[in-house]
Formats: sequence, C-alpha cells, structure tokens
Amino acid sequence: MDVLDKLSFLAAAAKYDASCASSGSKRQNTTKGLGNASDSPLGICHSWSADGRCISLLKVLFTNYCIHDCVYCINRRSNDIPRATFTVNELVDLTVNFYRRNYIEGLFLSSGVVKSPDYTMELLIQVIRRLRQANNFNGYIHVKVIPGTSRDLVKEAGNYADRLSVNIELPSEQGLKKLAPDKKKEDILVPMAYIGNQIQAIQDERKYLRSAPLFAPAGQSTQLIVGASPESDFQILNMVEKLYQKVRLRRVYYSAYIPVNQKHPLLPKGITPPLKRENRLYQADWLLRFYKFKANEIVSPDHPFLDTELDPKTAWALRNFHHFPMEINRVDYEYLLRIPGVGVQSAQRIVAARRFGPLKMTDLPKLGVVLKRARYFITCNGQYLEKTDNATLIRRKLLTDAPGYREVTEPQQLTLF
Amino acid sequence: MMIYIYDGTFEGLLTAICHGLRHNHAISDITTFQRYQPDLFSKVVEIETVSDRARDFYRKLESLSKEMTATVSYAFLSEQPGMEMLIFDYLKTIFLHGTEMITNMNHPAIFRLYHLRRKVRHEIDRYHGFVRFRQLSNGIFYSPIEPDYNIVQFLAPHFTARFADQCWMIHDILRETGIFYNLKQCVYLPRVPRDHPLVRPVLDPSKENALAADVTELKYQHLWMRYFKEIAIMERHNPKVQRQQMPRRYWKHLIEEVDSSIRP
Repeated sequence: MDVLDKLSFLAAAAKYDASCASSGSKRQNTTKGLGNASDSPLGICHSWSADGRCISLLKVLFTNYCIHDCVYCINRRSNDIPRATFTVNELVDLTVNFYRRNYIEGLFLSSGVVKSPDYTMELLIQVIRRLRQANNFNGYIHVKVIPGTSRDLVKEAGNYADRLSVNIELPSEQGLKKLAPDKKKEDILVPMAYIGNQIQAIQDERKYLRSAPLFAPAGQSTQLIVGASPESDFQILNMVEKLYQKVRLRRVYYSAYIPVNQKHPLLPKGITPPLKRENRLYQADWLLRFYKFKANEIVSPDHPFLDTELDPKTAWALRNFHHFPMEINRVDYEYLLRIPGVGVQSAQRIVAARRFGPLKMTDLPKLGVVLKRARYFITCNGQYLEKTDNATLIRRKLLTDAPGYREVTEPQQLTLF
Repeated sequence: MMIYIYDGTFEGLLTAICHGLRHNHAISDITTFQRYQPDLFSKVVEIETVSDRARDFYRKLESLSKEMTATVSYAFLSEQPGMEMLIFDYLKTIFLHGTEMITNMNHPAIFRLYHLRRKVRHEIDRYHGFVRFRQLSNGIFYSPIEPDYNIVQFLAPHFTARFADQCWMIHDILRETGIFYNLKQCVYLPRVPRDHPLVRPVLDPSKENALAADVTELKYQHLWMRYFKEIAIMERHNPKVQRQQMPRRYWKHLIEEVDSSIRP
C-alpha cells in the first residue's frame, strides 16, 4: 500500500476528532531548525475543509487497527473497513514536508490501539521523538494519550508534545460501560490527573529555573461525544466545570455524534448529528471560561438541557430578568459581560471609551455591541432603546427577529436505555 | 484650505504630516503627485521629502506609543485612497488630547484608523496560513500571493522565525515585490517581475513548463490535495462557512482544490 492510500484511510479515520487548536505553546525555534510553535497566540488556520472546519494540523491516526470494539467508533474491531499503518519514517516525512510548504501548523497524532495501550503509545512516541530530535522540528505537536497508558510513557510523550489529550468520549461511567466496554473510567481519569499535576509542577519549576524542560507547554484538552448516550447538558457542563478547575484543562471539545455504525442496537437510530446542541454547548463552555459564569447558572436540574432556540447567555438573562436593565455608563466589567450582545472585546472597549465621556446608544454598534440582542437589557444615561418588562415577549421578539427564523423542529434525542 | 502633495512614500507622508502639524494648517486633503487633481479653491503645497525629519518624527511617535506607530504603518500599507487624511486626523487627535486617547474607540478619528488597521492585520494573519510554498528546481521554496493590501514585508518576521533552515521567497505578484530568506536573513526585494524565468513554471503552469515541474514537489501536492478531501466530514457539509473563512479570492494560489470540495 502506498503512502497516498495510507494517508486517505488514516486521515478519514482521524477526522471525527474535533480538536484543532495550534495555539498557546511556548516552543520557539531557537536552534535555527524547522518550525516555531510559539509565534501564534491565537493559532493559525491554514485551510478550511468542505465541512467548514479549519485545517491547522495534519490530523491522522498512526494505525486504524484496533483491539477495542467501542460501539460509536468507525475504527472498532468488528467493522469491515480498509486498515492501514504508517511507518515512523513515512509519517515523519509527511509532517516535515507538509510543514515546509506551510500547509500545516504541525501534527495531530492519534491511533487505534494495537496489542496494548503501552505498545501503541511507544509507537507514537517514536514518531514525535524522531521529529524533535532527528529533524529539529519545533512545530506544534498534539498527541492523544491512549487510555490505560502507563505513567512513564505519558511523561515521555509530554517531553516532546505541545499538547496532550485523553478523550473522555462519553460523559458518564454508565455510558462508557455500555458503549466502550473495553475502556475503564480510571484509564482515562488517571492519566488526565497525572498530566495536570505534571504541567503544574513544570510550570512552577520554570519560575525558578528557566531552562527546565518543557512538558506539554500548550496544556491538555479532551473531547466528549454529544448525543450518543443520554446524559443531559446539566451533567455535561457540571463535569466540564470540574475538569477546568481540577485538572486545569485548556479546552474541552464537543463532538456531535455522527452515526457511523448505523446498525448497532445500542445506538440512537436515524438521527442527524445534533449540531445545534453542540453549538450551544460550545457557547456555554465559553461562558464558563471567559465570562465568569458558573455551570449551575447556565443549566439546573429543573432546566437540564440548554435552550436550542436562544444562546445560553440570553436564556440566562431572560430567566434572571430582575438584574436588568444595566446602565452601560456605570456597571462594572463583570456585569457588562453578562449582557446579551456584549462580548469580551466590546465590554473592554466600553470600559476604555466611557472614561472619556458618557456613551450614547448610537455609539455602541461601533464598539462591537449587537444591539439587536442588547437593546432589551440596557440603558444609556438612563434612556431605554426599547422598554419591555415582559421576558416572554422579549423572547418572542428575539426569535422572530432572528435571520432565517423558522419553527425549530430539531430531531429529538431518543431514549436508549 | 490646503492640499498637500507628497511623493507617495512613507517618509514623504511623515514629512507632510509633520509639516502640517507644526504650522497648524487647515488641510483638506493629502495626496500623491499621481492622484492629485487640480481644483480651484485650495492652495496647493508640494511637500519635499526630508528623510531625516521623517525619521525624527517617527522616533518621536514611537517614544510616545509603539501601538500608535504600528497603527499608522498598517494604515499606510493599506494603500487605501484617503488613508493619508485618516492618519493625519488620527495623529492630530492624539497630539491634541494625549496618548491615552488611543483606547477611545468612540472617537471617530481613532475608530476609523483602528478599523483600517484591523483589516490589514486580518489579511496578514490570513496569509500566515494561506501562503503555500512550492519547491522550485533550484531548491528554493516559493509562494506567490495577491494580497489586497501591501503586506508582504509584514510577513517577514513570522516566516523567518519558522523556516530558518530553508531558502524561501514570498512574491507579491500584483505589486511585483517580494521577500527572500537566504538562510541568514530576510531581505526585501523591491522589484521581482512576474515573468522571471525561475517562477514561470509556477505562475504559468502550461505546456513546456508543466514538464519542468519537480516530481517530488508534485507528490507532496497530491498528498495534500487528497488529505484536504478526506478530512472533511460529509455529514457536516458546510460550504458557506468554508467560503466565509476562506474567501474565493484566496483560492487561486492554494494547492488544494477548494472549488471541487464544495459539492458533496
């Protein structure tokens, strides 16, 4: 099998992983070698594929042979699909030559599990060690940690990689037992906690010793599949909040479940990928990370699912209408962030600009405020743009004003268990 | 009212603005010799570029705020008609009210120049991703670009830090300028013709030129095209977002076939 075929199979097998970030690393090209992962504080996208997702890294599996039989996965043992395995040389050569032509920011390397987690992890480490040592490669490398890998190998991977990630995949232990019978919760959470501690330890060490070796300088992330198992957004967001606090994840990726294995009795039948739900979860995730929200403000046991029609911040504002209106010229930054239609940037601009004089309603669009949403929730110098005290009425207005509005008939999640 | 005419260089513009601010002239327009159209009511002042004065003025601006000089430089390289007056108004506002005014996006003069800077900056960021090198027969990695703004010099630091062990060149084929890295440093090339024999096989890949193309180079191009196709999830087909992020005018010099990826 030639490299072209291998690349086709192993890229197609890796595409369901949502992670794309290439930002936040400290690895510089100090050796006059190839690549520089530190020059892009926001990451660089090199292309966009036909699904509208950005291409930043060469995202491939080392092999799509797998000893596991996870029900949701295209590469499961019992699927009849073409299988391929790269050699270390082939993959190193591809990465370096794609990088030299500025096609990519680096390598995203994952793999099916062959023989054992440790054996597979050794193979991945061979690739990234060769890149770093023999090829003087300083581009971005994201490596998946195979669940169940031993601590020493995780540590070694972290010495070469910019980002490590262990995929949680299913947001609850029952889900994991049902759909990924070969994986145990501990196989995922133990390496995750270890990576979190190790990153912290190295960061502390580098405060005193700048030359201390890097360990996954771009941090760790994880991925959850949404809609393959029946967890609510309440469960998901509470778990995610804990992960951000306890193991200091940089990011959580949400991947709408795509029915690749249609026939399996344990999986929901005939659904289209719950893309809207995925989108709302990302919005909620942003509220957790950048808008100082708590998970239990966004979802509660009474409202366990996010509103599909409205973004989570607007939904929160309508549930908590007694906090509004907020006076743009007076309220603190943290409160500005709570106004629907005001983002991090526009809030910063408001704070900077109002020092020079009071802002008027007409100034706000220039600063980036989306008045279509903000208008019901703010005053400028005590003036309303549109005064409505009735949250239900506002909701209706927001929905009918939305471009391309139609009655939402999202395919509903079926119960599985 | 006065119209200033300068030679179109950055130094010329700085000389003009310095002059205007010093004499507190009521300027209605600053324009170049090429673009100037006589009108009856304005007094015309021809500005003679004084490099030393321009440099001193720039240093002074820089000592006040690096943020401000960056904004001015980006705006100048946008090459948008009228940017001269925007820069003049911007600097005048800041000299009148103090450097802290830079953060006041609510001031029209500050906002307009900031907005222009953002557009230029955005294109630079895009080209960090969209530059596609092809290895020429002499080993040099070559990429043609056709940017809206004159940004080729701004690409130098990023690519120099990244490709330190290969010779490369980025060629603005609209303005026929380029930057070239020779393993030691990156130099600006003020004139690189489009029909230079070395780059002809890339820019005009017809007839005999196709034969000259390097086999190894073509191999990696094919691998990349295939990768580009395979990585898309067809259940999530979304060409609208693809086009928003990667507007059609950038497709020409990409290796991947964006056009044919649109149909599911």
